[in-house]
Amino acid sequence: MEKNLYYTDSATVFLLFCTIVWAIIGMGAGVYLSAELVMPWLNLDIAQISFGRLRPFHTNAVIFGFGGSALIATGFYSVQRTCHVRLFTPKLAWFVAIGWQIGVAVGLVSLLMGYTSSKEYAEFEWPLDIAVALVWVSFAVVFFGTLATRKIRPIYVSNWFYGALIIVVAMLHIVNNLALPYSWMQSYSVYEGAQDAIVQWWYGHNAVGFFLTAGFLGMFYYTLPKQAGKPIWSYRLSIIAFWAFVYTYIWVGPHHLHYTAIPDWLMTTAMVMSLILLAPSWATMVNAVMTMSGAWDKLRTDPGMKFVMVSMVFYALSTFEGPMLSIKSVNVISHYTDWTVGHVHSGALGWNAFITFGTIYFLVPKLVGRKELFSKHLVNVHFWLALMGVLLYIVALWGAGISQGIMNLSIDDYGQLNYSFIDIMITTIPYHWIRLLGGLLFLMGALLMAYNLFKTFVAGKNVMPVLVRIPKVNKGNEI
Amino acid sequence: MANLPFFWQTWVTGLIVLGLIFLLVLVLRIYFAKDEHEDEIVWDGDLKEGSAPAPFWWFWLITIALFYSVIYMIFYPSYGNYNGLFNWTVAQNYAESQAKIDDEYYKKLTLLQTSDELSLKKNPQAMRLASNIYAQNCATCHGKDAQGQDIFPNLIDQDWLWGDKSEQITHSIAQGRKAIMPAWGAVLEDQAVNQIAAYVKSVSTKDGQNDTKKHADGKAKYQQFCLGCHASNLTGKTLLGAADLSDDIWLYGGDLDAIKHSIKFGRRGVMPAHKDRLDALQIKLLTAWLQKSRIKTR
Repeated sequence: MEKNLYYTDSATVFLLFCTIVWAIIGMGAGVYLSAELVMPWLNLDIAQISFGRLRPFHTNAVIFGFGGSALIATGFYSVQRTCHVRLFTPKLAWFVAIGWQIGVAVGLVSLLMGYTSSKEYAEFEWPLDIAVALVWVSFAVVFFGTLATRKIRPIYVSNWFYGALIIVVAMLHIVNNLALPYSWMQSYSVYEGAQDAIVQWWYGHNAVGFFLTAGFLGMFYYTLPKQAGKPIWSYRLSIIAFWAFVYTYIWVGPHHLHYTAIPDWLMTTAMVMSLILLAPSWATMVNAVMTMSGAWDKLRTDPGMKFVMVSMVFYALSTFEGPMLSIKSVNVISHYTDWTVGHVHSGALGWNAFITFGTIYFLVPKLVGRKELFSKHLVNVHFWLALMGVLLYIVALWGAGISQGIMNLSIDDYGQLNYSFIDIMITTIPYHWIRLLGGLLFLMGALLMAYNLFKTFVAGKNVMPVLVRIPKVNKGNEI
Repeated sequence: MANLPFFWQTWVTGLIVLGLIFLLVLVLRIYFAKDEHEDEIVWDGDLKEGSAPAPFWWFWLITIALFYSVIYMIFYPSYGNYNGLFNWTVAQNYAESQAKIDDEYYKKLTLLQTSDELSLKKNPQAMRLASNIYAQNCATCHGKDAQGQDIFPNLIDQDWLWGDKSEQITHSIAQGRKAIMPAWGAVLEDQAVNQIAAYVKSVSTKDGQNDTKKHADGKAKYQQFCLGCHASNLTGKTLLGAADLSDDIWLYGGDLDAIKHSIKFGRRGVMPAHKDRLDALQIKLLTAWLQKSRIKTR
């Protein structure tokens, strides 16, 4: 058999499996944390599961475990299809797939053991940072190698976004983690004071921008038109969305540091760039809605499609909320409150997780050689559980965040603070119960998905591995 | 704020200006471009791209956003060292709002400063303010309702290690306190420790008062070693922060084992000084509030 005539999807299958495992671990940790907030005794006096250690475990497990595995998996899958060529060095692709899992798993254990560089979303200590960087560079080699050996001349838009993800995240990761090692599991950042804060949030917000947005937009630009069976409505919008997105996003980090000791001009620039960012984000949203027009009936027949469409609704919502929160006078209320946490989750659950679920439901039957999923009904149940969960979650944290913000600013007849921190915490408790309920519903949905996909996998096991022949490139499109 | 060096100033300004111009040109080109009829491109069997122009409202959205940004950056600090026409800074903004608060509430605060403790206690607004100061600064150790916790004293009972007069409380808050119960393990045999502990316990629970014989040894040793600080009737000395052992209030535990531990290994209590953290008025309010809380529970 001539291997080069076929795509290679084994690494993708493995990575999608890991995606689901990480989803359950990461979201499970999240639910446990939100339970600790209302029932603090739940840490059972065990240091490893106390809030301070479990919280970075949760964020790293969902962002890098769940999100990262999903991005690499779908990247491998779609770059082959849109380049009409087998993956460049499939063995290196397997190294990326396994290396990523080991890196994330060891890192998460080290966080529970208390090793942390204390930089948010970059808590892993230096040996792990180097390991992750190596894996990431290998990912770049596989991806850009495939792109360079493509058989079709034009580069499809999803690859632009995956490419931006790979390049920018490599840059962010390396620059932010520069540190002087002191021992095997301890190091000191080369930045200090306000500079450290600026570099950290330049990294932190671009982790959201390029890891959780650019990468997932790549996933979206492949999944949506494939699932809908319609062309992307406008390549013009996708071009402007891409360039406006990559240019403005790089500036916006300092909006996490409004009214702090960083230079004033950085705050202004971060704010205006955040405002401009609304335009490319909504360009993508318009593109999605218009692509769907004429194919809306698919929402009835294809439950996975619902996830993709609703992910766009949440994308539009959180990319409107984000610029609004970056305005200094709004930030005065929202900063240091649960509003920020709610905003992140409306993006991470409503947009990232929904598009990932939709894509997984779309890809898994193909990858295991089945026409259909084990149960469409379960997908529907998953959809409604997840939607209820995320809505409860973000509405609760809007309530909590705005209450906290207003109480923070309230002053009494003597010009002194009206409410103490404890008063504010007590006000927050009911909202945190609702948030816990929302998280639980979302987690239950993910468990249903795991069951459904497992049954699909078992039913299709005898025909694996599925070999897909690379189709011929249309006339005039050849390289 | 230190200014950016020339190179970085140029770098930053260049990136902002060129980037915005690039975006504007891109928007205009894409919006007004004619539809080009190239060969239709198809990826992966059925992936295609349409060529619809950007919607009208979206075009205006980004155009207005770009112009708004430029105008905003003319008025506010941006482009590196450029201070903006408004000359606005965060530091100045903070100073101004602080000054505004000081100005608006100056009279009322002065009224508080000059009023005596009794009228403070009778002023519900002042007491509410004081309870906030307590919640923000003291509750972490002494508990939400000043009921104390773990090794941190209860502040609403009648037992005050360092005294409950207002100047004593003020001193405790402002200057802090350091209490040392020495470790007697090196001096006293285990048997002696046990005897003293049993005696102290019997006094505090009023159990053994009639049975003086049983605790005679303990009492003798108490008078030899402990009397200096805890006084002959075991009521302690507020001057030294020595605890009253005759009541049933125990900071470090009142069961026999805990008492033995206190004697053998000693105890150290630290109340940090708050004079740099709280101003005189805040301390005055806290003192008044603490005394009032005690009266309430009496």
